Amino acid sequence: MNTNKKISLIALVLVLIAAGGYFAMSSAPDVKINEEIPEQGKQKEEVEVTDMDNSSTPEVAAAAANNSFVSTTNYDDQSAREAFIESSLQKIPENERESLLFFADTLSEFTAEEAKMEQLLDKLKSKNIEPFVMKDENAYTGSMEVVRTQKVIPGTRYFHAQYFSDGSSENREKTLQHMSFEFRPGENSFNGVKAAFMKTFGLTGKPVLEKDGFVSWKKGPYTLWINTQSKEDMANDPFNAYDDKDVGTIRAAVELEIHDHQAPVFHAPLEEE
Amino acid sequence: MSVFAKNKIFSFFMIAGLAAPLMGAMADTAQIPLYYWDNQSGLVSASHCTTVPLEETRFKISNYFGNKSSDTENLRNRNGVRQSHLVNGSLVKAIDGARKSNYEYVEVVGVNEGSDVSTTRWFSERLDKGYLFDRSIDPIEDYVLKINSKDSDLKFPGLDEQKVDGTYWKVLADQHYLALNCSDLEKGRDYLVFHVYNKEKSEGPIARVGVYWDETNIFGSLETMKTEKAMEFLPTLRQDDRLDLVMQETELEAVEGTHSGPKTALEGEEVENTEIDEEMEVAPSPEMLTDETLNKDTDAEQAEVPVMTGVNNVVCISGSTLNVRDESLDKVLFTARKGEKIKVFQGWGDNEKETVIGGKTHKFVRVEFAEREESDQVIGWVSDEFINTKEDCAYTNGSVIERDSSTTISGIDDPKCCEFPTVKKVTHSFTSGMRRFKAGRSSGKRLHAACDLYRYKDEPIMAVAPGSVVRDRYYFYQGTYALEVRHSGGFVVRYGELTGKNVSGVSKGRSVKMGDRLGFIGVVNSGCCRPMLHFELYSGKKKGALSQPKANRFQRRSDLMDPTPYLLRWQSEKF
Repeated sequence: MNTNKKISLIALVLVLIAAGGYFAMSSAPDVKINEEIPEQGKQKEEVEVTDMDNSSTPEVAAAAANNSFVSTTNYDDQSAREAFIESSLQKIPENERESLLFFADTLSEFTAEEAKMEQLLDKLKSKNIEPFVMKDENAYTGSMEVVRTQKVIPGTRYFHAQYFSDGSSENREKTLQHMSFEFRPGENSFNGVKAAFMKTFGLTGKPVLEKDGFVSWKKGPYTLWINTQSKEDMANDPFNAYDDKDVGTIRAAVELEIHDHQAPVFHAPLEEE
Repeated sequence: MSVFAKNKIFSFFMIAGLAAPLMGAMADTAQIPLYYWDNQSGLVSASHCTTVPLEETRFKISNYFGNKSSDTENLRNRNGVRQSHLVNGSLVKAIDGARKSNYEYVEVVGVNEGSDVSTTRWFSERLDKGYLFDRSIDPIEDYVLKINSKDSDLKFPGLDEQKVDGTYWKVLADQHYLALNCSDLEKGRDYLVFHVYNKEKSEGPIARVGVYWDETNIFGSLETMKTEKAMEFLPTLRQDDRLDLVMQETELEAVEGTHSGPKTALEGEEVENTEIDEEMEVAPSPEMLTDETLNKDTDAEQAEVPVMTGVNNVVCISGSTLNVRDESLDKVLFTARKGEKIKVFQGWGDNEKETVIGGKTHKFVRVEFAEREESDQVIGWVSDEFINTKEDCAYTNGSVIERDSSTTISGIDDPKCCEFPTVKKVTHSFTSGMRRFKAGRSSGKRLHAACDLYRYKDEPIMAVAPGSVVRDRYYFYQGTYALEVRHSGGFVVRYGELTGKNVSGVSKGRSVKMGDRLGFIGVVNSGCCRPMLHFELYSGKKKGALSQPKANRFQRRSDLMDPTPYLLRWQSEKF
């Protein structure tokens, strides 16, 4: 092939490449301003889901939980766990520590299957914190009885328990659906509550989920969780009063599990209908 | 006569000539009654107040800006996703929030009911928040608002049966707006002055009312129109829209001194606290229980545990309003109305005080009124004698206000049934993965009792059918809430993983129509999962608690149903 033809051929190839590129660009979908843009880009990422129960190390499990958070608590080693519990509780003033352990113990005790609401009332009465019951009943979904207290003990407040039953029939069985309390904000408060839970519930395993300011475990049908409350967490609570100074309050709860103890899946892929 | 004297006489007549119409105008405006609006007390006389210039106001009117014409503009979230359609001419207020370029963060105060647009559940409602294109926002002074009060008893006090309903409200603004200046009102609150007209009185405004941007119940139902259109039947608007005349009145009042007369119409209504107002001796706060008190001997006969009916406390008084005081208990901060929801503070800090009045000890507690529009009148102190559950309060009737539920259905299989519960199509399929009904939980030991409908946080959720709320919000899961509705035909739905935010009018015993808002989508505090509506469906053939851990693998009442085929049908019909 002579030189001219070679040059012509090369030029033709270049033109074809350029033309192909032009058409490819012009057929790309227009992204219109102010149109609803589904998160397709994000959701097509493959994200490894880690089974928290079977993860080999707490670091892997925690990192999968929040992509970056690594717990400083060594759950695998018994002596390390005990040292954490001891040191964390020691950082709480004595009178508040007693309150904290009282309520953590209450949550632990009353998640047991055989524990009864009446026994809870007795326990709270024995602490002189004047429990009372608020009853919400209807003919279709039975009765919800809310146990709260008139008085508080140092460092804690807003004890709240929700029991569900079948209404006004005698000897009805009451199911604990939620029980919680709050501990005051403070530098050592979160670890203090966490340590109290580990101690009173006898938690020896890794948490199901742990991230900065939040930790949860599983016990039977219940999830146990501790959260450092933000302003948004406290907004619109129908039962508890809050003001801006309450940010950082620690909320500790046991609740009937709804979801599952698995690592959070932040970007599940879109599925075709 | 000297030149000086002549000049003096000439000047006098010049000034008199110029001032006469001014004085006439001032005399007229000085006669216009002045009020301010309080969400709890209604229209309150402000005759002791003056008006002062105000540079800016948060009140604005929505419009549409774009290449095509439209009766609505999009109200979006921060990501730019359209949340609802906002009817043009709606009253909005600028509120604090994260900035977004070319947009203003607003809250809807009143939707324009004078538009021809037929609104549906995709349209913005009062108190909706979102981002509005800043070129689609008009100044409030360009419009006149017609109040369509739903309260037929709302009248201007002292104005001979003059009802608020059907009046026309106009903000006069030239180089500045006007605001109220009252010694008894909270500092930092700008009460924007509206001039109020009615068609019958053609001489000018019948009243002036100051409205604070965070207390706007009066604008809950309104129509708006451009000022030019309103001038056709309110001719005095043309001359009144000159603020310099009104400002002269303000300066004159400042020279003349303060007004006499009652400071507030509330003085006659402070029935509940007249006794407590006398001789308040504040005792030291009761000590929190300590080690010394915890273990002291209790009575051999343990007290019975009080049982109350209902789970939410309200203001329980025989009168209509209750004074809410500051921490010293000396000063009244604001008022609360009978039946208003109230929450009592507990725990660290000073939340209780005892006072001795006439030899009797009264306990005051710190409280929060969380369901208020006005965010600066939320916390204060009241006597705990006036707090009770709504059901146990002798003064709040427990009757249900039945709303029009003319769209009744015979049951879940009725062809007219039902409405998909989210505003838009779900972002993820609810028929697969962990979101589907019967998905395995806890390694298969438990089955998922719901369909998880993924959308976005704070989006409203709708009632799928007409019905009645049988249980209001309660703690459900990791910082989210649930409520229960029994729908027409008997089927029951638990709407779960909501935020705690209440929808006005939704409470236990209230009827709802198909498509009515029930609440807002929340997100669990563990962050495990996306924001969703957890949707549980029951046939209604059984009674009793919905959660029953020992009943079956769903751990639910035995009439639990698979909602999937119903949701699929409703979704295809809606979207």
